[in-house]
Amino acid sequence: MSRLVVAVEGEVTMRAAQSLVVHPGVDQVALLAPAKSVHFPTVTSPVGWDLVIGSERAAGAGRKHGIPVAVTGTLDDQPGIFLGSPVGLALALAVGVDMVETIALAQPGEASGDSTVVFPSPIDARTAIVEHHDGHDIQVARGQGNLAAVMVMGSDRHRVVLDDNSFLTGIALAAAAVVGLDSEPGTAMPVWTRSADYLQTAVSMGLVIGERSAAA
Amino acid sequence: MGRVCHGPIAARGASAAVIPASPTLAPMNRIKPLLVAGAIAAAVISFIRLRLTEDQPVDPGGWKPVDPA
Repeated sequence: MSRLVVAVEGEVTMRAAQSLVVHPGVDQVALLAPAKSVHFPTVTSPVGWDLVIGSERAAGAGRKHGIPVAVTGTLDDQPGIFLGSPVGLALALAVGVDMVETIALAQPGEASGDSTVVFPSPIDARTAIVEHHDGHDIQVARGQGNLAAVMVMGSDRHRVVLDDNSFLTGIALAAAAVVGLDSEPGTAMPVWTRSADYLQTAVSMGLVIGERSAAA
Repeated sequence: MGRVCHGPIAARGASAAVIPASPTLAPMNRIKPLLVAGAIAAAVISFIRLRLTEDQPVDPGGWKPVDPA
C-alpha cells in the first residue's frame, strides 16, 4: 500500500496530485488541510501516511511528524527526495550525457541575462542568466508564454523536454514522489540519483523526452 | 497673397489690380521635404528590422522521442 499526502500550495502541487492519483504505483492520495477538493479526501495530519508531497509546507509537515517528503526545493537534515522540479528534471536528463556543455531551462517570466540559449520552436532563442543549483550551473531563460523546457547539450547528444509549464512542473514533482516511495528510509537524495527511474516515471505520466545527435 | 500689377493693365487706366498667387507651387515645395524624410525613415526602420531578424538563431531541429531506459 502506498498512501500519499499532498500539501497543496498552488496549481503545480494540485497537478502533481492529479498525476499521482491515476498512477499504478499509488494506492491513495489525500490533500493536507485546509486544502479541499471534490476529487480527493482531506486529512488534518500526515501521520500514518507514507510520504508528504509539495514545497515548503510539505517539508514543514514532514519534519514535524517525522514522515519522508518529496519536494520541489532542497532539504536540510530531513529524509526524502528533493528537487522534484524542472531543475531536477534537467539534472536527471544530464545523467548519462557525455561531457555536458549546457544545462538550460526555459520558464515563463521576465526575460533577463545577456547570454543566448536556443530552444526548440516555439520557444526559440532566449536570453538567460546562470543559476547555481546543488553545485551545478544552469542557464535559466525566462520569457513570455506558458511553455517550459529543460535541455541538456553534451558532446555526443542533446536531450530536451518541452511542454506546458504547469504540466511539466507538476509531473516533475509527481515523478519524484513515486521514486521517493521506494527510496532507502532515512536518507535525503536529489531526483537525479535515480535518474532512470525518475525519467521513466515522468514519461509514463505524459512527458516526452526528445533526443538528437550533437552533430545535427 | 496677391501682388499689385504696375504693367500694361495699369497703363490702360485701370486702377492697381490684384492677381491671385499660383495655387500649386507653394504647397508642393512644403510636401517634397516631408516625402523625402519619410522615405529615409522607412528605409532605416526596414534595415533595422531586417538586421534584428537575421541575428536571431534558430534551433536546427532533428529531435526524436526516446525511451529513457
